[in-house]
Amino acid sequence: MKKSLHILTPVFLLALSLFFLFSSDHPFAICGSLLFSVLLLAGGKGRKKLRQGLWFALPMTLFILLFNLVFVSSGVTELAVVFGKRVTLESILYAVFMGAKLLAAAYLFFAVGSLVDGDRAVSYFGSRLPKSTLTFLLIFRLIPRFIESFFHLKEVYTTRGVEFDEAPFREKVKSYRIVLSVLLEQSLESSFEIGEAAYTRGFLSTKRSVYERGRPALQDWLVFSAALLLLAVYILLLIRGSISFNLYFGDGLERLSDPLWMLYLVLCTAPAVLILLTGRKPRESSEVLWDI
Amino acid sequence: MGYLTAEHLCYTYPEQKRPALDDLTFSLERGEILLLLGRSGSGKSTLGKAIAGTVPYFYGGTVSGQVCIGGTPLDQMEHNRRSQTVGMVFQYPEKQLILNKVHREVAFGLENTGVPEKTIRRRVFEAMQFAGITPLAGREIDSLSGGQKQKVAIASALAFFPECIVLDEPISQLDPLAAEEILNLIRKINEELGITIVLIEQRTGRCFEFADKVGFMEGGRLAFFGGTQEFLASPESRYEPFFPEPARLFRRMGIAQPPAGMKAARALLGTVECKNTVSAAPVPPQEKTDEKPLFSLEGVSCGYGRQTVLNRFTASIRKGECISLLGANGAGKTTLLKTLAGLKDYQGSLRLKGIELKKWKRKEIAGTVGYVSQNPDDYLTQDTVREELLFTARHLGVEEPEQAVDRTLRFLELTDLAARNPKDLSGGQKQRVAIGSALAASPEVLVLDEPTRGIDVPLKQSLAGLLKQLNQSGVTILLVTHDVEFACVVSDRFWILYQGELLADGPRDEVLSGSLYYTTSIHKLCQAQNPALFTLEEAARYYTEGEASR
Amino acid sequence: MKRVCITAAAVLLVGGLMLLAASDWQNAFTLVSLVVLAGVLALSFFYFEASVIGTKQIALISTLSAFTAMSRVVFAPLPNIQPVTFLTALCGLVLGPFPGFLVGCTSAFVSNVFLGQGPWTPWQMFGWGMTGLLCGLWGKRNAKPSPVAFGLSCVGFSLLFGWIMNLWQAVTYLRPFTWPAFLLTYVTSLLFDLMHATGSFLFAVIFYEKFHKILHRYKRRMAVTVLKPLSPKEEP
Repeated sequence: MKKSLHILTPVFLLALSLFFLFSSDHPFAICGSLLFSVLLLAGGKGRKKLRQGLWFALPMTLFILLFNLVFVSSGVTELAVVFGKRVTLESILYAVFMGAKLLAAAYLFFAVGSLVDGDRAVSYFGSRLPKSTLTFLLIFRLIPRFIESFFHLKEVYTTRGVEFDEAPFREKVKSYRIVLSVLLEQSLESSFEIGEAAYTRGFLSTKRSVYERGRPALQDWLVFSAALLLLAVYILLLIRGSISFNLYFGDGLERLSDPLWMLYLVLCTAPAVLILLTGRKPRESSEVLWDI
Repeated sequence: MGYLTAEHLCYTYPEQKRPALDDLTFSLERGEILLLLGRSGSGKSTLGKAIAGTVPYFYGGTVSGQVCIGGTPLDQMEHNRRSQTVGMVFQYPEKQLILNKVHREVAFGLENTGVPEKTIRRRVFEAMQFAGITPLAGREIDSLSGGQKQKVAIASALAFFPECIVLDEPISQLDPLAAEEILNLIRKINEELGITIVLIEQRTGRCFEFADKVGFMEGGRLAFFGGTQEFLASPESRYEPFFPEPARLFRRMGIAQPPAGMKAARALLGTVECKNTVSAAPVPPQEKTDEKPLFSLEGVSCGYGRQTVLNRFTASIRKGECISLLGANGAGKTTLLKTLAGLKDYQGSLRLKGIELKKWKRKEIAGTVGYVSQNPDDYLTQDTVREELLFTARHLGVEEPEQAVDRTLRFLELTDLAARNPKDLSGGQKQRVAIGSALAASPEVLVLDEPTRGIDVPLKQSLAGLLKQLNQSGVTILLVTHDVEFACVVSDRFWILYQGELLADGPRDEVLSGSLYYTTSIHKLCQAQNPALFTLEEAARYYTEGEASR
Repeated sequence: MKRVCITAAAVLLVGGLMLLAASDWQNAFTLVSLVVLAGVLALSFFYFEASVIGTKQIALISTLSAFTAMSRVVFAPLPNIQPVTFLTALCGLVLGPFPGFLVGCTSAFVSNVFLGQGPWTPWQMFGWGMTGLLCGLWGKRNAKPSPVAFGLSCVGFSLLFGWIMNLWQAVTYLRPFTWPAFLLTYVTSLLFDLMHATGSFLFAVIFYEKFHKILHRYKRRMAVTVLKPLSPKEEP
C-alpha cells in the first residue's frame, strides 16, 4: 500500500474513529471501527499487527472484568457468585465490549500509523512546528544510541571488576548506578554537539521551507468525503438516540435493528476500501529517485 | 584585503579565565585551503568555530575583535545568512547527523534557511552527486559506514553552495581508506568549486599536498601563518612533529626545503647517494622457546546475533609480545579484543594460560587482562584520579591497593595530578588515567582499542614511550590502531584482519612491506632504496650516518 | 478549500460532542476530557514554539527525554515501577518548570510508542508534564533540597499521577458508573500507587545525589549563553 495520502487525512481519520469508538458503548459503533482498521491492516500487510493487538487487548479485557467485578455488582442475569461478588452476564458482556474497544483502538493506531509517511510528516510539521519536530526527531535518534552505549559501558565496567548480574542486590544497584551516571554524563555532552551541528545548519534562523510537500490529491478528497458522510450518518444516529446502549438498564436493545446502523457499518468500510483501491498511484518524481 | 580575515580576535569560553583565542590576526584569500595545526587545547577548534559563528553565538562567552568574510563582519551577518555562507563539518559522524534518511539529512539545512522547494530538490541532488553518494540517497543513515556518514555531512554542508567550509578533524575517526576518500573530496570541492576551506587536522600526512596556507596555533595564539612551503622550511623545532614524515626525514637530512608531495619526495631521495650499506634494522631471529603461549586461539568464532564477526580465528600470543592489530573497520579487531578480555561468548577454543577462557571467572579475567576502551571518558566516575585507580584496584581485589595505585601513578607520571578531578584534565591526561585504571591491578596483558584516535603528535610520542616501557617490563600488549607509524614504533608483531580472519601475521618486514595500505609513509618513500626502513628514526639514521651526498 | 473542509469537519465533530454530552455523560466525559487535554498539550507545544528556547536547550530536553523514555521501557516488566516520575521531577528541579514539563510530556509519548499508544497517552503526558512543572516551581524556591525531601516530593508526585490516571480509568471503565464504586477505585488504586511511590522514593534515594550533580554542572555550562547574545537579532 503506497503512502500517498496527505498527512492530514490520516489525522482526521484517527480523530473521527476515536470519536466513534469512545462516544458510545454500542456494539455496532465498536464493530464499525474494528471493520475499518482490520480492513486497512489486512489489506496492507499489517497482519502481524493484528496478532499483536490481540496479545495486548485480551489481558486488558480480563483486567476490566475484574475491575468491574470488584467495584460494581449490578446486572440482572446472575451467573455465579465468586468471593461474595455477583458475576452477571451483563458485566461479562461489558468487559468484552470494552476489551473490544481497546482492541479497536490499538488497531486504529496501527492502521493509521501505516498510512502516515514518516518523511512527509516530518516535512509538514517541521515547517510549522520546528522545535517540537526536532525534539521528537532527536529523541528517536538518540534512543538506539543510548542502548548501545549502555551495553558498551557495562562491558567496560565488567573489565574494571564491577559485577552486574551475578552480584547481590545491593552491589547490583551500585553497579548500575555507576554505569547510568556515566551514560547520563556522556549523553549530555553529546547533546551539546548535536545542538551545535543543528545550529550551524541554520536551525531556527528563519521560517522553514518544506522539502517534500504533499498536496491533497483526489484520493484525499475521496476519503475525506466518505468520512464526512460517515460522520453525518453517525450524528443522525445520535439524534435519534440509537447510540445509547446500556445493558444494565436494557437501554438501546430495541433500537438495534435501526436501519441507519446498517448504513453506518457499510460506510465504515468505505474509507478503507477507497484507500486500498486507490493506493497504487504513480510515484512522484522525487520518490522515484530516492526510494530504494 | 583578504576574503576571510581576523583582526585582533580574542575569545574566552564562559566561566574560563584563560582566553581560548588570544589576539589573532590573519588573512586568507578566497579559494584557498588553510590547514590549521596545533596541539590539543591550542585553540584550533575554537578558531574554526569562530569562523563558523558558533563561537560566540552558540557557546556564549566574551569576544572582541572581528572576523570578516568577504568584507562583511561576522557579527553583522544574520544567523540565516551566516549558515548559508559558512558550513561546518565535525569530527564525529554520528553526532552531526540528525535525520534518518540520507537525502532528508542533506535537505535539512536548506529547509532551515528557508530555501524554496524547487531549489532544495535540485541542490540536494547536486550535492549528493558531487560527494558521490547518490546511490545511498534513500538509505538509512545508521546503516552507513563512518566514511559514508562523513560524506553525507559534507554533502549537507555543500548543499548550501557556501563560500567557505570549516572542517574540524573530519578524518580522525575514520580508517585510512575512508580518510583518503574524504581528503580527496575536500580537494575536489576546493579545486572545482572554488570554496574556501579551513581544515583542522592532526593526521596531516596527506594534507600538506594540497593546502595553500598553514596556521599553527599555540596557547590560543597564531604562532605561524603563511604558505605551506614556508612552514615546511621553518627552522622552528616545535613545528617539526607536525610535518608529514617524509618532510621530517628531509629536515633531519639537512635539506632545507622539503618537498610536500610523495612523488617529488621520492624523486629527491633518488638523487641522494647514500654510502651507508648497513641495513637499518636487523631483524632479531625468532627465539624458539618451548614456553606455552599466553593466549592460544583455535577456530574461534564470535558474533552478534546472526552476524559472525570473527571467523574461525586461529593464532597464538606469547608472553611479552606487543602486537598491533590492523585492518579496515568492521574487520573484527574490536570484537577480537573484547573476546580476549572475556567480554564475548565464543565458539571454538580460546585458552588463557592453558585454561579455556570460558572456565575462568569474570573477575579473574579482568585482573589478568586489562582493557582500555577508545573513549577515556568511560573511565571517569570518581572525584579524584587516585580514587579512580583505587576503584579498579578494590573491585579486582588487589592486595594493598593503596600501594599498587601509588606505583601506577608514579609510572604514569600522574602523581602531581592525583588529587585532581579527572574530568578537569586534558585529553592526554585523561587517557593516562584510563590506562592507569587498567594498570592498577597489574595485569599481565593490556589490550587497548584505538588509543591513538584523535590525539596529537607529541601525545602519541609519549604514549608510544609509555607502551614500550610497559612492554619491556613484561606486560603483553595488544593494540588496535589505524596509525601504522605508531604501530611500527611500538610493536614487534603485526596482524592484519579481514572479515574476521587473520590475513597476515608476522614481524614488520613480512607484513608491512608486502602491503599496499598497511605500511608507513617512510617505507613507501624509501622502498626503492632500502626496503628495511619503516620508522622515521631508522630512515634518519640510515641517511645521516655514513656519508650521504647529493 | 482546505480551510473550508477543516472548518466543516471541526463543526460537525464539536456538534457531535455536544449532542453526546446531552445523552451519555460518561462517554462524553471521556471524549471531552481527551479533547481538552489534547488542547492543553497542543497549546503548550505552541507556547514552546513561540518561546525563546533555542537549539541547545532542545538538544538537552531531547537527550533527557530519551533517557527517561528508555528507563521506563526497561522497567516496564515490573508492576508500576516508573522511573519517569523521579527523572522528570529532577529535570524540572534543575532546568525549570517548562523544560521539566516538556521532558515529562515527550518521554510519556515516546515510551508509549514502545509500550502501546492509546487514549491514556494524553493523560500520561499531562500527568508527567505536571510533575515536571510542579517540581520546577518548587526548584525556584529551593534549588537543592535534600535527598529525603526530594524523595518525599517524588512520593507526592507519584500519588498525584496515580490519582490523575485513576480518574481516567474509573470514568472510562466503570460500567455502570456509581459514585460509591468510583470512591472505591480510589481506595484500591492507592495500593497500586504505593508501589509507584515506593519505587520513586527508592530511585530518589539511590540516584538523586549523583544525577543532580551531573545535571547541575551541565546546566551551568548552558546558562551563561542565553544572557548576552552579541547582536539583538541572534538567537543562540
